[in-house]
Amino acid sequence: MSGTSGGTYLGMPAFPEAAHDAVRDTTLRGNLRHATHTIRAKRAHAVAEVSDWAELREAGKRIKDHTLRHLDRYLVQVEETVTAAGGTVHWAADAEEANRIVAGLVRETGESEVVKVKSMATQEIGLNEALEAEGIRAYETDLAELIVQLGKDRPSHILVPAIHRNRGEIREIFAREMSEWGRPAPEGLTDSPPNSPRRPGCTCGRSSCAPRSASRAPTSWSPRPARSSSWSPRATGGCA
Amino acid sequence: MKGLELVELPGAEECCGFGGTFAVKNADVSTAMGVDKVRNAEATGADALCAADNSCLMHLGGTMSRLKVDMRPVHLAEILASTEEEPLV
Repeated sequence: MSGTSGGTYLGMPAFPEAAHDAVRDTTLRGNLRHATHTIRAKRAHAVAEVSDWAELREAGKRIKDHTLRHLDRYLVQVEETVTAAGGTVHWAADAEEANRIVAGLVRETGESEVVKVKSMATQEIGLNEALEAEGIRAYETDLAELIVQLGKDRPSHILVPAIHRNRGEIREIFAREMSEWGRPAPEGLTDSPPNSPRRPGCTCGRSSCAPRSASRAPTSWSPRPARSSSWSPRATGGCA
Repeated sequence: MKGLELVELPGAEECCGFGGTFAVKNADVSTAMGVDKVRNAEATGADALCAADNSCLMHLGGTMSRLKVDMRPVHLAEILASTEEEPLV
């Protein structure tokens, strides 16, 4: 399993060591410069729309800090609301247990394929690799996560997992890998966002859960069945 | 300031990359950031790069000399202390 503990991927070199090669990669640096400058410009534009953005940010920070400080209470509260809404909450002490639970749930359905939505928690615990070891193939549905998966890569940013890739590289990854995962990449790919690789046979889904309100019935908790709804209402949601 | 023309620096909000021990612990990234900063300064065609922090200036001065960029790092105080009799540049 290539997943990890402590938030750092095992098998990855230390940051200064990885940076030694990365700063010499002119394509990578060009990609990141372009992407981060675009994002910063958009942020500046959005920030300029509201006069109290600094207060809003501070309010958001306070909510997050408060929730983390009382995580024990809020996790139990989430469990209560999810259970009341007909879902099932599974508790896992570590990455290994979480992966084992998810693999078990997929196996119970009799399926060997599962679709996933974007989830950094499952990246960190190495869920896809753990499922693969159990003979279960996981399909990413988020475009950026799919680019990372097909490129046999690692997400480089918590919100923008494929921020290090440019359009040409993405086109090349899809052209090379997509046929093996479903249907071949269409001509003119990356001129517009590609279709998802959903295909018959994917009958399981899993979803993550951030950020979530503990006090309301979780509307986005339910798993995303690709075709049949045999999976519902058993959420294997995040918080792992 | 009489006799001085201020030229805006592209990417002025970005760090020069020195950051104290950061330059030691992450030398490659520090250097790369310094090079970006100097290249941005060079693109303005200015004779001097002014900053208000000596650590930044030391880092950028070293980067300039290694890149053989014909520009000098200048502290804001040096500009304020200069006179017509004793000009800066």
